[in-house]
Amino acid sequence: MEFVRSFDYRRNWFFPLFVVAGLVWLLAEPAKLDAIPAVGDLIGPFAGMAALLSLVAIGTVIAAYLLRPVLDRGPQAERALRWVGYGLIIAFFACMPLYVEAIPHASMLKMTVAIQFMIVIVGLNLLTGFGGQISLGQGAFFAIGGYTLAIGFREWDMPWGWSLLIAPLIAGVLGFLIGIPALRFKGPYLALATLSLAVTVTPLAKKFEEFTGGVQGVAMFGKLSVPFWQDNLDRFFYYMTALLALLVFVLAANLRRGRFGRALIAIRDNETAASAMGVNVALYKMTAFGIAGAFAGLAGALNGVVIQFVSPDQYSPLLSIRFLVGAVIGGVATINGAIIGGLFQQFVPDVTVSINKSAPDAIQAIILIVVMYTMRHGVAGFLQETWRYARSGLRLRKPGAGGTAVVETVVVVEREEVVIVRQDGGGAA
Amino acid sequence: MGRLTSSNSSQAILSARDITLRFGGLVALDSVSFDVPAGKILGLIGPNGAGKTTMFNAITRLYRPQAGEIWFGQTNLLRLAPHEVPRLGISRTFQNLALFASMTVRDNIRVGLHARTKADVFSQALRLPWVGREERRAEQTVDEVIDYLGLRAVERHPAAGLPFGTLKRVELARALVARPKLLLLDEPAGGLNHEEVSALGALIRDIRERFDVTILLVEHHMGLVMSISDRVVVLDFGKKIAEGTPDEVRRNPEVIRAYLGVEA
Amino acid sequence: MTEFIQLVLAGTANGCIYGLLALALVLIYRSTHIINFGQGEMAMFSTYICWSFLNAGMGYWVAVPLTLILAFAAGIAVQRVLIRPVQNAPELTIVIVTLGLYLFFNSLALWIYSGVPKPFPLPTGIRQASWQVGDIFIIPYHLFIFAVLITLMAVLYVLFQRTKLGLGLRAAAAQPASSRLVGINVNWMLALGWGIAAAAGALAGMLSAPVVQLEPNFMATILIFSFASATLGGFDSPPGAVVGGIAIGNIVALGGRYIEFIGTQLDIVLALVVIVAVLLIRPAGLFGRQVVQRV
Repeated sequence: MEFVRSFDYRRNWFFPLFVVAGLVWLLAEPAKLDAIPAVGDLIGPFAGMAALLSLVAIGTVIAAYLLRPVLDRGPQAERALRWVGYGLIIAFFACMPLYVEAIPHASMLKMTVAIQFMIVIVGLNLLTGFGGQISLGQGAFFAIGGYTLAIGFREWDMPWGWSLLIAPLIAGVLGFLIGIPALRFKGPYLALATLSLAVTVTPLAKKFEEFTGGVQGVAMFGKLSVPFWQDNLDRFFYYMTALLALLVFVLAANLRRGRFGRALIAIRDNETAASAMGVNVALYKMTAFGIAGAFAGLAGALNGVVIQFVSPDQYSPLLSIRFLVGAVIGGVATINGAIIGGLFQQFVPDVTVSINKSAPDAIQAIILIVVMYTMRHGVAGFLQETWRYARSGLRLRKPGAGGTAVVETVVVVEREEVVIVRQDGGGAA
Repeated sequence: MGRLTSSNSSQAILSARDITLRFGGLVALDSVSFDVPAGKILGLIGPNGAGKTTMFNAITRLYRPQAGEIWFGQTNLLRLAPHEVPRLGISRTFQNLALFASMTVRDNIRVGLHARTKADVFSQALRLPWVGREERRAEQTVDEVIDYLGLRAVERHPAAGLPFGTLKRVELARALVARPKLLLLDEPAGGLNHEEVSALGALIRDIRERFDVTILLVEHHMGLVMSISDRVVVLDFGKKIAEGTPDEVRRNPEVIRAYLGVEA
Repeated sequence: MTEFIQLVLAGTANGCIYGLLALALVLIYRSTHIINFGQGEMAMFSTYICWSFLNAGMGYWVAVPLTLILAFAAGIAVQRVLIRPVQNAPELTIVIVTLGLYLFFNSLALWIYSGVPKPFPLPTGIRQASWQVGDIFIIPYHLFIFAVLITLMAVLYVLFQRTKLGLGLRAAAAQPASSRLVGINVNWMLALGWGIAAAAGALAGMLSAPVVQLEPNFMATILIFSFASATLGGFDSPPGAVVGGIAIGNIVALGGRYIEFIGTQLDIVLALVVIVAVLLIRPAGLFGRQVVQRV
């Protein structure tokens, strides 16, 4: 008997609201909703995002329905289809130059930065999503990447390519080592400790002026050349970033589905039990910190190369918070969520900053809280669930007889996110 | 050093020697010694708060006794970190269920093989061929245990939300999949109904035969312990008060006193 | 020596402010095991509200109590509306929601009041000039801060230890399930805790605003110092938070002066060092209770 996970309409009560909000977006222009005082400006972006999400979700359902003949052939067909999906995503990013101009607000440079965010977020997904270690300090490792490039350039004329190798190494080792004190912290304490790490970056960079160039930073405009690619450097940097991101995604996905990934999730779910199964909890946590640090370091170096400028104020604590926000909105316990998170962090601020200088953060804050209430596994988690729902034949209720007892409990438990169902065994003893 | 038991001619797979464990001023275990004979089922019983689970936690290194030695073959377990214990071939279940709630049943059992697999982070990230081979072998082992314990129907189901009895079997599967030499079962009958308990007794005996494993059993359910144990150790207030075959223990006045609460 | 005493006086005054905000953090942590990352920004926003009142011509001694009442109500509202639905959710969810509070209030302040620093007056009746005692200058406002802290501690002590409401608050924090059984409205108690915390935070904001400039990020550094204070004192001990705050204030003042490397730029590093050191050496803090984990 196969378990069909039914779509829990009680848990996804918000979806109809999103569709309605999406419809508002269609009305926004003709009805001049943006003329409403105070909140009018915000209706557009929110309704737009709701519309986008509704469309994608509905598209997911339709796709699952149309592809049913293929999918019903078994798990191989499903796997093949997943690879087609990955192929499409890769193709979308590979052909970017063809249509990047047509996408509003987008440019090769912005896409490159978005992909760099994705690299950081993938690491954070492993660390926080699967490993359960909340980090508000990824900006520090990002900064290490940036300064590896900048200091190498300033002090030793190091070719920038080297920094792409050295930065992840340094950041990875430092991440691994920072994992040691982090072993003592749990939950919010860890968030707190890592946040103070993020907070110290800017003052430290300003302090060590002789290496970092202090407040002025290190400008490398036009000095980072590529010997075999003369014109359109933007495009070169884009493809370089995208290829490295692809590598990072493949590595992360391999780790996720293997022994390491399972051990990480085991630690998150129940540390005691994980160690009783032979998982070296300390080593795994440190390794997760190291990997996340290395990814952030790589992204930081790439960012420095693309922006060609590194200064302390780029690495404010807000940057670290944004990484975590991106991860959470994309779906922190997913690998693919990083794609959504990266695009979100690049483009939502970009689009909304025209409303008000502080609108991006305000909007992020609201979206963040809404996402936490509605889609605890982020957009990627929501879409996965939608897909499963569509595959289960659009059943809104529990499947009928046969295994109902079990399925019923699942529905209840999923809604409440109970850590583990514990029945008191005392009565029978 | 490995030791031979005098009481039983068979070799002891695990020997606890003078284990003393205190929580602050509370003495949870007071100089407890016993042997687990290889290939047998040893029942560890005692009234509530006698220190049974504490003993389990000392063996699996979740607690650190202040004094004593626990020998498993040539190894003193107290010198090891908790995660090193399963590598020697010791698996356990938990009294209050310690499953990985968000993982599927199958993945839960897969984690049980952690100590039996080797893939390191770098080889895994690159998915080297030998990692794939190891994974496939592991999947096969998992399949065998899933079939043995009848968990096929729920294998793709997250652990959270399954009925209590099923979760107990999942925990058992997770412990068994590593093919341990010594299996520690902490109240396997807790929360089960009458029929389930008798089925469990048969299952535990079958596991001993089929997996050729020594079993140390903490259990409240007297009927179960007495019917399947080869030997029984009785703890009361952290002290060992009796040891012997089920029949000997049943007749032991100390034990009767401990259980019935008669004044000495 | 004179300089040392001078530094200790200033450090203690700043420390009182850290202690106040730390107190807010601790009050919430103790009852719900949540570290509210938005605490500082809520305080900052309250201070702006107070500034608006003052700007509208209200007197200091009217505006401040009014703000405190509003902050109290806002704290309750935040708990009831935003925190309660995720009370039993995984830690990450709660951390994220409080970070959402941080971002929200920070950007809202920037939006409404812009980033231009605003002057915030000293309390009416407190003189600007300092008293000279021997070689030492005593700033009246520092004494005022200290007095406010002592008063607040006394009020909270009476509230928690001497009233029935306080008993309910403590019971709800310590044993929510049992408290429910004896008829305490635990949800309401937790909300009240948030209200008191928000008011204490607002007080910290309004007290520090005249010293540092009022701008949307002014509480961010203070929040980190308060985190350090609460960690040092123990996250479940209100008196510990205050003592920790005063200690941190002095560590920062003295460290910045006497450790050359630190200077004024790296004082935040001192906070980081304290946090890490405490969590490594004595994770429960000076006054916190060590918790034994049961398997």
